[in-house]
Amino acid sequence: MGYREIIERAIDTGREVLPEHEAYQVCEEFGIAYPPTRFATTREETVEAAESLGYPVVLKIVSPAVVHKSDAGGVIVGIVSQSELKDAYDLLFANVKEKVGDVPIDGVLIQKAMPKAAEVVVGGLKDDLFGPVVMFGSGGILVEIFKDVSFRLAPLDRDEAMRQIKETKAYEILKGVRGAPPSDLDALADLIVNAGKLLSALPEIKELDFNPVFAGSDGSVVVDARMVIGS
Amino acid sequence: MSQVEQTTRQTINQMFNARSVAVIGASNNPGKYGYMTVASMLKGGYEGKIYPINPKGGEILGLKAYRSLKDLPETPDVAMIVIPVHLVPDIMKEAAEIGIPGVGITSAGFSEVGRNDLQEEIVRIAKENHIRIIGPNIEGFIYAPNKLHVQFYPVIENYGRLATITQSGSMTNGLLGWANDEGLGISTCINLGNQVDICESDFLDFLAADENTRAVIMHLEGVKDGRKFIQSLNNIAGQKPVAVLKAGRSVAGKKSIVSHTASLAGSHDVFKSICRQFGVAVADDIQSLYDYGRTLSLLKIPNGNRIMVISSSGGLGVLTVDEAESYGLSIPEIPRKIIVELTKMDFANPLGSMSNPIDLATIRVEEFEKVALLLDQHDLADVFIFNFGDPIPGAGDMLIELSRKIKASIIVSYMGGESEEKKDKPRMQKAGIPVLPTPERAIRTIAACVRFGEVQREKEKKKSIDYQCPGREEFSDVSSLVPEYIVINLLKQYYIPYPEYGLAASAGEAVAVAKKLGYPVVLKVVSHDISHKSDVGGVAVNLKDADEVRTGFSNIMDRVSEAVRGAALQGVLVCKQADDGVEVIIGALDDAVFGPTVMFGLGGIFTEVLKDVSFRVAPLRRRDAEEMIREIKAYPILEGVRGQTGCDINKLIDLLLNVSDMVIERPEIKELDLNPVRVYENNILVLDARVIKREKRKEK
Repeated sequence: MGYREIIERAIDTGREVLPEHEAYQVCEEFGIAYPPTRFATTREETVEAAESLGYPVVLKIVSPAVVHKSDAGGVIVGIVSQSELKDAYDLLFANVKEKVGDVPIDGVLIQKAMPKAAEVVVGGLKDDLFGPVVMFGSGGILVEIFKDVSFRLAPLDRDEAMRQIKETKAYEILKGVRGAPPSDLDALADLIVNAGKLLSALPEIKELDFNPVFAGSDGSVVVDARMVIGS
Repeated sequence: MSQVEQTTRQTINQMFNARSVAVIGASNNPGKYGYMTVASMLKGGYEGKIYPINPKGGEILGLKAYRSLKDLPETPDVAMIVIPVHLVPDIMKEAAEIGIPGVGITSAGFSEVGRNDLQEEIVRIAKENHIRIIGPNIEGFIYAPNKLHVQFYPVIENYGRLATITQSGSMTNGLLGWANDEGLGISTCINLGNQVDICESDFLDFLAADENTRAVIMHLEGVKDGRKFIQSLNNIAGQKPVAVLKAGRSVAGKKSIVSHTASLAGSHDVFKSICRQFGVAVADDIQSLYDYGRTLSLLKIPNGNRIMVISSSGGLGVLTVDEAESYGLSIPEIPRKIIVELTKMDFANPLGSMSNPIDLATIRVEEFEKVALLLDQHDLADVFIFNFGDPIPGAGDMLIELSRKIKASIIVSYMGGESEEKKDKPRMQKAGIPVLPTPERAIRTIAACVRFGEVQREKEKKKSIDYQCPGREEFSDVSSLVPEYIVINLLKQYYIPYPEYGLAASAGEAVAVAKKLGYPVVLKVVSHDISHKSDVGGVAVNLKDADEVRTGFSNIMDRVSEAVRGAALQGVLVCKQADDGVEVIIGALDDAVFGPTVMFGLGGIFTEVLKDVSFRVAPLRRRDAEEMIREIKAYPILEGVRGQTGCDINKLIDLLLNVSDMVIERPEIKELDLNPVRVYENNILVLDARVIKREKRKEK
């Protein structure tokens, strides 16, 4: 299924937020890397998927009613064995039920855990006045408290993306701090360029959130993707 | 020397309020400073005696000139020395013979050009004979209450209540030129020059007590004695507002950097923190220094931070509130009921907007007046800013009158006012209403006044603190790292909490200690030869049982011996592993200029990459500790974000105060690093402590 079909189907079914695994399919077509991921609807499929991906894995809930997965306890990380996975599966459903209530659940995502790296955020939005805009910034608390972000109009080229990265404090962190190796900035800039292409090509996408992106020394991977459709 | 010794402040007072002045080097040549100085005194209308001194005698500018100080009929209160540098020492001796209490030396060519010998000679002569010196390398000084202008060139045209202290004479001339042009009143102009004797702190002390001065602006390059300066700032804080422009920001005080705290304390950061600590406004450039001077010397100090914006046009109003918000000022809403009252008024052009910022869309002065009177009755704001973007005929008279009637303070931003503005600006400023050229510039200065008001109200409630810390000169620059197990004892004396611990010389002993403490534990190498334990593999964390402790012990010994060949390893410190929590860094250093200074920041990248840290000079008041915690950008993390519980801020404040006590009472501490410190919901723990200690100087 191509990205146009994915978007159109979402619009036809009245879904505002793309399911995460479909968002990855869109990423795929724009050359944006994400971890090996499987979608499953049963416990057995989940175990099978994890065995084929290899541990450690991350388990995430897939539900149109759960937009902020972490807040709903819908993400469990660091699962290293089959027995942990089975427990995690139950816990995941229990968490969501407790926090959000009885809501329709499509299934779960099983994702291969990615090696630890500097966490950044790449995002996008449709500005009322200027059209598609790409955002880049520090991950986690830094983006919340320090508002450490920079914006560029999409589409943009790699040089522009590099200047965008260098405008932020995240750049200082990406150069390598506290013994961490420096991140591959070219790969990160490419990811930003590709996010810009994606936003320009898909006017239906109102908001885009790659949060976090693991910016490692050997490439950048989107570890969580959110795409919001709007007219 | 029959003279009874007087305080520096008394001597400055005698010099500034001089009844007679000698100008040594007075001249008939209009191109010479000696001529210009006498000419300025005459132009300024000095009413005391002027004694020109010139070896040729005769007459200078209509005054009888004397060949020598010895020929004078009386001893002048001050002598201004305006002669070539090599003649200064002999003249100083002559001044000593007739007992002149103070001199100003305009001559240049001392230490600023490498002639330290000449400078030392005049200082020696002055000390031996109890003569006080202003300068050398200055253009003179001006004290308006005495109509005394012993300065080469400018004359104060508007007597007022702003004092300027500047490093250079040119800066005095520039500021005074602006003030003369727009009716801003000046009380005193001081230039500092080489400050061989009387220094910026002495002048601040004088001005703090001078009833003719209401505010001080300072342009400084360096500070002669940091702790004396802090004492003077603390003395004037809450009495009179001060603004400072500090030059030399780019020159990092580079010295051997051993710890975090030292590397983060670029001396300008410490300087700015001190300004915050004592409520001094920091100017970024000459223009903003002058702006502060205008408002701080004129504006009635506001009781709070509520700003009412009343504009002649909408565009300026929006810019004003944007700026106000970024400076933490509040823009109160006007209650519905009052808006209704306002709209019922009789306006020529009832198109304006009656919410704050108010846009009257008029140039009719009586409409501004009516609106302001009504708003003031309802006590809606502490400051009214009148934002004029057109010529407003009669604005000057109306505002001068209004300022006598209303409780709120009044400030004006006047743009595009053409001849009305030119005419009214000096009149308003003479009447005590500051007039700024743009609303943003007005807002910045209001923020400084509001801050001063806070300091003033706070100071009324508290006892004064002694910021002098004697005893530091006994210590040399030779310093060394104190082993952590010794530092722990020091922490105990100051009630600074450290995890339970024990020392162990062998793996077996380590296991025994661990058992007593309870698992998990941390091992840290103990060695006089190791300065950064983690860098050489000298730390093992989260050891859960006896086997892990044994392995940890031997791993540490192996790694450290490998990394530092020949290091003598005494054993390990075994500490109970602390729970996870928010990590902060607390440091202290003995700043080369300002003495003991405490630093605070969050751990990890916040301090290392983002440089998000704050400083305060010790001793800290509780309020200082609170402010330095709140000042960092990452403060919300301490309050708790993303569902995390908040930190025990009170324990953090206590810890900062204890560190402050420690560095005040222990002058041997050159640098202190508590890194990391873990802060919990109801507790706090220092996990690692480094102290660099200075040796006492050898007795000669």
